[in-house]
This record gives sequence, C-alpha cells and structure tokens, in this order.
Amino acid sequence: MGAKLGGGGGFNDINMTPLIDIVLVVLIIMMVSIPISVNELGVKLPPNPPPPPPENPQDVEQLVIGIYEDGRIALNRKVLVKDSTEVFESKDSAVKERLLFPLTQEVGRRLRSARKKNVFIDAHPDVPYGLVIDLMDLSREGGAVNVGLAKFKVDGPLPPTSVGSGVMPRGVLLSSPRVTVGEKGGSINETAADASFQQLMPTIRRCYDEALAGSPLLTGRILVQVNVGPDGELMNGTKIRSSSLEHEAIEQCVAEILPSLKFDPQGPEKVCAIMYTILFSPG
Amino acid sequence: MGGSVGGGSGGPMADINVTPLIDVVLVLLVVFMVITPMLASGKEVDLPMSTSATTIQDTGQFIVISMTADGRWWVEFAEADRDTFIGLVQGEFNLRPESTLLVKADRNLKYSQVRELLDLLNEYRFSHIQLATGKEN
Repeated sequence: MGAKLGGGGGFNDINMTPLIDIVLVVLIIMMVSIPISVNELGVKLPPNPPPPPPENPQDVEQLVIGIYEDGRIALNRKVLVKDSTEVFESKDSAVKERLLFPLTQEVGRRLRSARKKNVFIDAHPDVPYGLVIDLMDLSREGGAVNVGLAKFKVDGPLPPTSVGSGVMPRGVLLSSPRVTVGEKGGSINETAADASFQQLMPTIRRCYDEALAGSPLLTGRILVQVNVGPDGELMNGTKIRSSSLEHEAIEQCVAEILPSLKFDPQGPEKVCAIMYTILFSPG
Repeated sequence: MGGSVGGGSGGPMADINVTPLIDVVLVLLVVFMVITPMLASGKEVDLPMSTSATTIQDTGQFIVISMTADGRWWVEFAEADRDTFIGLVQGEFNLRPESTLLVKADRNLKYSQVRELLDLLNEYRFSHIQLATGKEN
C-alpha cells in the first residue's frame, strides 16, 4: 500500500515575500520619521560694542537678578534668597521652588507693572551654570519676554544694598502672562491676556482661602496653558500644565473655572498660546 | 521513450528558507533604532534642566558647540582649543550659512567658563545663540 501520510506534506503555502516587503517599508518609514528634537533657550548677550550707560540709572526700570558667590540671590540689589546652594544640588523641583519662592513672587509682581518685560541676570563667575539657567527659567515663568545676561564682572555683581524682610505678602498673585502667537499671527497681547484671567481671580482667591483653613502653610504655583483660537474660543490643550501645590481642591477649582475664560475674536487663522503662572503664598 | 521532458521548472517550488531573511531585517531594524539617537548633534553633555525652554525639531539647522564638564570646547564632534575655535565655527557657518548656533554646556560648569565661550562668540558677531537644555515639566 502506497498510502502517503497526509498533513505535513512539506512546505508552508504562506507566501512570505509580501510580509517582508511590509516590514522593510515600515522600517524605512520609521527611519525617516523618528523625531530628533532639541530643547533650546534663547539668550541675549550685551551688545558689542556696549551701548553708552543711561543718563540717569534710576530712570531705567530694569530687573537685575544678582547671584553672589555665597549663594545669595538679590533682585535689583535687594537680597531675597539667603542660600541657593541647595537649588543647584537638588534635582527635586519642589525643593528648588520652595527655596526660590520669594524671588519668584517678587519677579512676578514687578514684571506685571513693568512696561518692558526684560530681566537681566548678573552672576558671579564661580556660580554654577545650571543655577543661572534655573533663574532664567524662573524669569520666563514670571513673565519675562527677554532674558539677558548682564555684562560680565570678574568680582561678581555689585554688592547688595538691602535685604528683603523675608515676609511674603499673603494671597494669590498672577504673574505677567507669556503670550506666544501662532504662525499666522495672533492679536492677544499681555494686557488682554491678563485682563481675561483677572476675571477668574476672585474665585481662585476664595478657593485658596478655604483651603488655607485646612492647611495654613499651603504654598506653591500653578502653571496654566491656554490656547486661544480665531474666534476667541479655548482650544484643545487648555489645561493646568503643572502644579507644585499638591492640593487637589485648589487644582480642581482652577480646572473648573478655566473654561469660563473669555477672549475677543482674533481673526481668521490667528491662534495664540498663553502661559499663566499663579503664585499662592500664605504670608 | 521514457525520457522526461524539461524536468527543471516542474517539480516542487524552491524551498527558500525565509527565517534568516527576517532575522537580517530585524537586526537592521534594531541597529537603526540604536543609531538614530546618536545622530543627535554634539557631544554628550549633562544639560541643565528647564521648564520654559521651547522644543525644536533637530533637522540639521544647528551648528552645535559643546562644552563638556572638563572645560573642553567642541564644534560638532571636533575638539577645538581657544585659538582654532572661531576658525572652526566660521568654517561650519560657511558650509551652512542658514544655521543657528546651539550651545550645549554642562550644567556643572562655572558661569565664568560658559561666559568665556559666549563672549568669544559675541566678539565675532555670532550673537544669536540658543542654549540647549533638558526639558522638565
């Protein structure tokens, strides 16, 4: 009997070629599309040759953050942070924020009323570069549009002339908002952005006061991202970017009231992104 | 006559063993996945962290100047000393006139060291400089 055993007659009938073609095509698409991205901070250096000094130094409203060798940080020669050495050492952003909070608050407050939102950083030569970047960050979050490096001095910044009292004002402060316009432009400026958000502040203050009853030392900041579309509507991506408060009730409060932000229509295809920094301080 | 005609094309299909082919493809895939991040420019540096930096696609539009923690300067992947530095930067600029300068400096460096680099660039009119940072939220 010459019966042949059925089944496993030999080879697979599956044609492998298309499978391999697909794998190769996917490979090529991945090679082309894997994004290589880089994070950058723009910095302005003092112009070369340096401009003549202003006639009367008091007239120029400048914010200069001075970082001294021993870790003190001053704003316009008034010391606000006594010891910043831990800011650089620690990788924990909560610690950094707590140590720099008096400076953050004062910078935010001053930038609100400044016409030109420029901050200069004047650091002693031996200060770690990472700390300088941290302070550039702090300035940007406080609403600075241009952050520059002051003229380099071998002995470091001019010595401070006063020391902050260490008493921080109590309450909720909205830093100067940072507006970035889209490709086709946008017509919301800092004043309009600020005015719109101020409508929400009474509610946020109420929430904070209520929260303070339970935790009297509640300090921190909330970063809010708002994307505004052509008709003044809030677009996707409008949300709380980060919060160092760790208090759900307040974050909830802000998140709930965010949709009620109103902006004027900007015009077709005009969009912009606004970053708000809200500072909470129990005083 | 019992000869069989043209026995070549008839008969069972060639038993191409596909397994090695797929192995090769997968290896190529893995190799590319590993190499691509290394194509990101400049030397490896411990970048300072920033929450407010903007994230930009690296499409080769940067001339990357790196300063490692030991204080050495690099233009792209070539080390430069204080004298040859500007020459190298200018050379890169001539090849790619539309590029932006990106400075990757280690976060542990002293301000004076980074400032020396930035001021030297500024002196030769390369004043539009971006500083590279890591991103944190």
